[in-house]
Amino acid sequence: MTEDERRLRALFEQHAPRVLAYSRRHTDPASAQDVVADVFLVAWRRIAEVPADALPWLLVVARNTLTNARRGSIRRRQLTDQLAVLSAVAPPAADDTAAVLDRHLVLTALAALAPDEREAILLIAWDELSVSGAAQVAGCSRRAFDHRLARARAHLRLSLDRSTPTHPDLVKEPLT
Amino acid sequence: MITDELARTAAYRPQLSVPDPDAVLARILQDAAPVRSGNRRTATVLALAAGVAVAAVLVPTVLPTSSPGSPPSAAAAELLRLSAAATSSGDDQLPPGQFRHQIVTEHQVRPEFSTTLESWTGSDGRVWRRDTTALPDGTPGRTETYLFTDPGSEAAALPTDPDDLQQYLVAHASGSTSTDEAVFSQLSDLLRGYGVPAALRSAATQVLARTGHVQLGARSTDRFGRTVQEVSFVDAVQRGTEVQSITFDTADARVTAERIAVGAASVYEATVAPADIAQQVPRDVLRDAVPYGTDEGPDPVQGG
Repeated sequence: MTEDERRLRALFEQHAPRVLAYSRRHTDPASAQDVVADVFLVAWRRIAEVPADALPWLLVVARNTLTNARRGSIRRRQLTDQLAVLSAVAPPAADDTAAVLDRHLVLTALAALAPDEREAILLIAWDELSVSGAAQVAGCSRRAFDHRLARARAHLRLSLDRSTPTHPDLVKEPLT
Repeated sequence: MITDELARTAAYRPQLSVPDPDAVLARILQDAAPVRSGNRRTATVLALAAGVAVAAVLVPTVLPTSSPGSPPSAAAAELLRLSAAATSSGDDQLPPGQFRHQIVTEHQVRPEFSTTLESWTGSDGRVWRRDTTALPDGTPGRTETYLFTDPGSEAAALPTDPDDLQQYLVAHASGSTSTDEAVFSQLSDLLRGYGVPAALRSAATQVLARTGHVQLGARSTDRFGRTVQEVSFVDAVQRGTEVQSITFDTADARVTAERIAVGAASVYEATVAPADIAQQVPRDVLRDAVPYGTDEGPDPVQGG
């Protein structure tokens, strides 16, 4: 196995699930798998260009693949029901009423956000990107992303504050 | 209590895994070797040589070709007729100094954009293309101008025997978990390309005739007065209500339109206007054109 192959395998093992999760937010499940294969095909061909902090780079490729339907075989599919999209990818809640309710409230609040604000939240909270990396994937400056994220957090916080208590698993004892 | 909205959102972070990752990786590694020169043009050429489009996708878990739903005989018969029309129409014969001028208009929803692709093909096969993207409100967006130095080389390298072409396309099945759909998509990409010889158009329509889930659509007269025949890929199991269609000119089996619809709604439409002959490429196009696939051109990493 060559050094390039080793690197590609490592990238795939580490990041393919994140690329898949990102793609699932933007297209149907079958196409999302296609996007993952496409992204890593590009990574293979450009292995020398893939930076050490690879995830933002990979997600930019995914974004471009999803955006430009003309350039390839992948046909972008409409996803109109954001709550259904988020529900399909978020892990199920624990088997108790409060957990199920909390999951529903969080996902509903996310679905109600403006698309760019929702994406700002999810690039950080789900894709685990830094603000710089998220700005890169969002295609805007870090300053613009900072502003967008702050606005998104405020809207999300407002929406969640109106709702019921959080998931019991998230409740922690206050520091004393 | 964690009240931070980001932490609360992170609690529902997706935990997904890629199905059969070893097979996906194996297919990727079979493809073109990495390009280390940093020359994006080379990368693009390799990509084009390896598949049909830069965004070619390799998915290993493909279904057998022509599994459920072989094309109805009406579709097969019409496609064979189109194949014959392609053969008899022959190839373009452009005298030196003249250019085949063509305009393709595209409209896509989500994200919504409309693009006009205006091209000039020279007798030496070079193609200059100006893409103008309009914003949803109709105001002009960005204009990009490209030079394709040898766009017909990929098509010229493909087999023109229908059996061989089918074998090639199935072997390079990409872009779908269904071989039938992958073949349909590749044929769409192939047929819309520049410099597609009549023999290849003929073979391609014969392969379509053998491809599962291909149905005959409407025959009509388009707004340019051409008699056109729509052919659709319909796979309710794999794709629900989505229908992908190619429309052919019955006179020569050239593609006149493409369409993707979900239910009754069109999500993508492209119309190819009849070509005319131009005596020259506009000066601004010559001036602004950048070789496609170079640092200045659209790129899967940098985006368009």
